[in-house]
Amino acid sequence: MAEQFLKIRNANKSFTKEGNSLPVLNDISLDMYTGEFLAILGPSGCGKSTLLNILAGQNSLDDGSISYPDKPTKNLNDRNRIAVVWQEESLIPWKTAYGNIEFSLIATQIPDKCREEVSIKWLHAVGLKGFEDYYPSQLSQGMRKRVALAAALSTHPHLLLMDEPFGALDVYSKLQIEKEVVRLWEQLDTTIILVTHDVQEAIALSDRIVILTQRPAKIKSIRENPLPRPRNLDALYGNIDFHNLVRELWVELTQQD
Amino acid sequence: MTSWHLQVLRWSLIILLITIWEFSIKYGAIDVYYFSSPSLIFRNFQFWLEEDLIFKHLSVTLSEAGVGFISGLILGITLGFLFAANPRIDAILQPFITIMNAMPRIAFAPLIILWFGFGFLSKVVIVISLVFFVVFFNTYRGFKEINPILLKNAAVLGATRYQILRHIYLPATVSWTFASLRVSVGFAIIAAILGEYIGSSAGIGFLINNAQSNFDATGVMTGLALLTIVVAILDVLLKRIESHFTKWQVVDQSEESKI
Ligand SMILES: Nc1ncnc2c1ncn2[C@@H]1O[C@H](COP(=O)(O)OP(=O)(O)OP(=O)(O)O)[C@@H](O)[C@H]1O
Ligand SMILES: [Mg+2]
Repeated sequence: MAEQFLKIRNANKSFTKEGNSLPVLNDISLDMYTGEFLAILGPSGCGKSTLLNILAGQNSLDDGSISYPDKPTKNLNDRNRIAVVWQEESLIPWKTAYGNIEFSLIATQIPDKCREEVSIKWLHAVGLKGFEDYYPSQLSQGMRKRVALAAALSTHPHLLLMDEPFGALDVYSKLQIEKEVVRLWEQLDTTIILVTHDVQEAIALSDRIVILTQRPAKIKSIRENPLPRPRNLDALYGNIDFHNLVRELWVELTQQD
Repeated sequence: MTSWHLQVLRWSLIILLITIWEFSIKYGAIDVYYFSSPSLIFRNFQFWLEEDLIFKHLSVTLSEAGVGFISGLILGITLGFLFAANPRIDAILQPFITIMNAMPRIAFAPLIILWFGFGFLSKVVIVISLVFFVVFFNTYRGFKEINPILLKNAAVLGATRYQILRHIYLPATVSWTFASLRVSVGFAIIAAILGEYIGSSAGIGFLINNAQSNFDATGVMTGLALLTIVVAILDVLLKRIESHFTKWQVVDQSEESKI
C-alpha cells in the first residue's frame, strides 16, 4: 500500500442560523493515500461542498481533525499544495481565459518566466486552443469549467478538490475531458477528491468511492473500485463489471435509510 | 441599419432642425430677440474667437472642472476603498454618507461660494461635492460586489495580500469607477458652470450669465453651443477609455446617481 496522505478523524460540523444549529457533517473519518483518486457521492445538500471547503482550509471543523501524516507541517495549506475546481463559477471576469490560468500560477508563486508556457500548455490540454483572449462572459459554461480545471491543474497541486466539475458538459465533451483528467492525473501523481452526482463518472474515474448519507452526512459506505488501471474510458461501457458496479451503487444511493 | 447609415441620418436631422430654426427666424415665425438664430450664433462665435474670449473662458471652466474632477476622483476612490475595507469605519459613517448623498447638494452651491469666494477655489469645491459621491459609491459597490469565490480561490492557491489587492480588489473596483466616469465628468462640467452662474468673473458660465443679464439671447446660445460641443468631444474620448477598461463586461453596470 502506498504512503498515507490524508487522515480525517471524527469530523463534525454544524452551521448556526438564527440560533438554530444545522448539523452538516456527522463523525466523518476517512483516510487517503498519496496519488489516490477518490470519488464522493451523496444527495444534494448533504454536506459535500462543506467538506471540500473545510479541506481547502476555508472553513473549520467544530471538532475532529484533519492531518497530513507525511508532511512536516500539520497543515497542507502551505503554498502550492491545494487547488480547487469550485462548484460555482470561479473565474475572474476581467481576466481572459489565459489570464485566469496565469493568475493561478501567480498566486502559487510560480516564477514569471515559466508562466506563459505553462498557461498555454494547459489551455490547449483542455481543448481551448484559440480561446486565449476570450473573457469568461464570452465563453460557454462548459468552457468556463474547463478553464477553471486548467487553472487548478496548472499549479500541480498535491491535493486537487473538484466539486461537480463536469456537470455542465455534454456526454461527448465530458468523456474527452475525463480522459484528459485521468491522463494528467496519471502523470502528476496528484491526490484527487471528486464530488459528483454522476455514478458512472465516479466509477469510471476513481480508485474508491465514498457514499454519504442525507444531511447530516455520515459515511454510508466506502467501495474499492475493482476496475483495473490504466482504464480505457471509451471501452468501459462494454465492461460488465462496470455495469454491475453502477447498478449496485445506484441501489445504494437511492435507498433511504 | 449600418452605423454609417445611422450617422448620416443623425447629421441630416441636426441640419434639418438648424435650417428650420434659421428660416423660422427669417420669416418671422419666431422672435429673434428670444431665440437668436444659427447664423447670428455662428457670427458671435467668430467674434468671440477673434477677441480670444473662447480660449480664455473655456480654459477657466475646464480647469475648474478638471481640478475638481481629479480631486473628487482621488478622494472618492480612496474613501470608497477605505470604507469598504474597514467594516468598523463603514458601520459608523455609512448612514452619514447616505444622508449626504440624498441631499440636493447643488443647493449648497451658494453657501460654498460664500465660504470660498468668487474665484477658482469655490468652483472646484462645488465640483468635488458632486463628483466625490458618484465615485465613492461606485468604488464602494465595486469592492463589495466582488464574488467571494474569487477571494476564496486566491486564498487557497496561496496568493499574497498584495496579489489579491492587485489582481482582484483593484481591477474590480476600478472597473466600476470607470463605468461611472462619463457620469461624473458630466457632473463636473455642470457643477463648474453652475458655480460660475452664481458668482464668478470668468468662465463659460460667466459669459452665459453676462449675456443673459444684457438680454443677449445670441450670447447665451453661443455659450450653450460651445458647451455642447465640448461635452460631446469629452464624451467620445471617455467612451473610448471606458470601453477599454470594461471590455470584459457584458452589461452596463454604473450606479445611478443624482445631482
Ligand atoms: N454558510 C452556510 N451557512 C449555513 N448553512 C450552510 C452554509 N453552507 C452550507 N450550508 C448548509 O449545509 C448543508 C450542506 O451544504 P453543501 O453545500 O455542503 O451541500 P452539497 O452536498 O454540496 O450539496 P450539492 O450537491 O447540492 O452541491 C445545506 O443544508 C446548506 O443549507
Ligand atoms: Mg455542493
